[in-house]
Amino acid sequence: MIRIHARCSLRLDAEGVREHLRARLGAVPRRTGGFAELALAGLCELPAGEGTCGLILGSIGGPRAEIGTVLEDLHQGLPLMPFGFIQAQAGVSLAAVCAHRAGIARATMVYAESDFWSQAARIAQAWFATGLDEVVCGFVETADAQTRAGGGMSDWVCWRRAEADEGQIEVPDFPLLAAASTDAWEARLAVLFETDRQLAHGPDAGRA
Amino acid sequence: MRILRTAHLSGAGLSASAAAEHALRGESRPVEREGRPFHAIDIAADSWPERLRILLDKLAPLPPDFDEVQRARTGLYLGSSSFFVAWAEGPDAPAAESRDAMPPPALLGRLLARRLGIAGPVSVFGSACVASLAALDAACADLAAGHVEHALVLGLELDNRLTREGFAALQLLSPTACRPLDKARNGLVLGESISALLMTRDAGSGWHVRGQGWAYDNSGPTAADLSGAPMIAAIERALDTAGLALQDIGLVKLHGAGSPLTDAAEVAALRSLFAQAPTSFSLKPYLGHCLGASGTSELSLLCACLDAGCVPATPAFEMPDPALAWTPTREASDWQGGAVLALWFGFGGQVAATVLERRA
Repeated sequence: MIRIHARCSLRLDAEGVREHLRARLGAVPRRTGGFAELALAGLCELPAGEGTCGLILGSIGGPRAEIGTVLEDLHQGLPLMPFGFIQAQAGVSLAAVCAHRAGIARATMVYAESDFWSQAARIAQAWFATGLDEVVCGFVETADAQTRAGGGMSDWVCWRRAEADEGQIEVPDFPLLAAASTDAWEARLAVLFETDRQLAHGPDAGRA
Repeated sequence: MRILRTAHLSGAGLSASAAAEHALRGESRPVEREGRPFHAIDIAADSWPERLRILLDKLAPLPPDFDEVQRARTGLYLGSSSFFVAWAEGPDAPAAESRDAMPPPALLGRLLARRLGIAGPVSVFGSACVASLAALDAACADLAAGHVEHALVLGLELDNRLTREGFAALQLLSPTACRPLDKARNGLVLGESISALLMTRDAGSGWHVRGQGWAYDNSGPTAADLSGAPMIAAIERALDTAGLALQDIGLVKLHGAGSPLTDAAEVAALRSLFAQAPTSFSLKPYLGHCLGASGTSELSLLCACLDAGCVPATPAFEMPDPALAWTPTREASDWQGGAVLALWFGFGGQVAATVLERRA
């Protein structure tokens, strides 16, 4: 059995995240962005690692505030700042998070909806089969970007192999927030997907 | 796991075989985009959702006779680094005040699955440049565990300003050309691709993913461990899961991005592992760096080139770098068979190696 060795569940607003990181790490890591900071706040609640570790970071929206900021800069004709771009890349947020955990042998970023923890457990189970000693996994969702209401969530588990390994994995029972605006997006995009137009070729190809 | 079917749209061609024809002739055909070379898919539309729908229909990643029962037991595994970003930049973008509320990326996976009639589980990976390889890895695991009968691994990376200007801001782009391992290499050339691998569990003839190995480079978001240690670890793990040894590898598909750092890290790993340099080449001069779709675009093109019996040249390699002392293919040549090792670096530190083998 692969068991949950440790878990934590944080609900913090942006300033709470920074206070938390100052308390745990002595300082807020520079230029990591709000999404990575929130992820890190939860990760550093887990006990220190043992051996080789896999890290799975999951989210519904990822660094959406950071993406919104760089998109707004682009719309206003402002030059993109290097760290603004890095903070808007979810896959790169992994680097900021992994830097604070020893023994990371692999990492991945998963975008999920309501089935995140069962999906993450399947991935972790496959990773254990490749010989990893532990897998840490977090579901991280920043506060609602439109209303700025509520805090962000950073729920983490650390799975470790129990001595009698029967290949099963314990799935955590954290509640998962649904993305409030998914239905509206889905309706809007479904209509757009059905639009029928002709193929176009030529020098402007790609400039949709 | 067997690759049952590949599908491919990129700047190199509108099918894997068309792209392979260009590659085997050594033709690199970037267009200019805001003063830099860029490998664009030659299909345009009035909006991003329209273009995506057209591209997906053109891609046709599932066989025409793939029935409802098969689709119900097929999972979709999507890898991308940009998802809805190109849409958010266009005229259909959300209003400015809600621009930071992007559609959830997993929704894109669900919509694509619906469009393709896939009713199995949908998994979505945003692991930067190795996203579609992470998707492939999860697909192989789900196939092995019997969660699905077939797995469609889809890499999607379409042109957008945010990515182009972001990489430019990081000074990672070449103003001229992708020159892997060349002394004059000066950065990446980006490209777009939508490409897919339909995977199955059976042991039939054709291409098989024998093993994948992963490692993590903690040097920093845009740095690389120049000792090559993470890539060495990834290669060793890939060979271990494949049950093969270094001497079984007859050919290496390099990451070969033309980046000063990752080219050096890649060659350091290869030099430390191989007593005699195997034939090696890069596909990025043909495709550009397709970021999250690199895995599916390069694997589908690789299989098509080798199915044609040839190993492509690495165009724009003109001047060997004495600091690397590694020469990729200069001309197309006959493929001699054997297992193939494919290597990848991901923005943010992820390193991957894939072992492929074609079975008669």
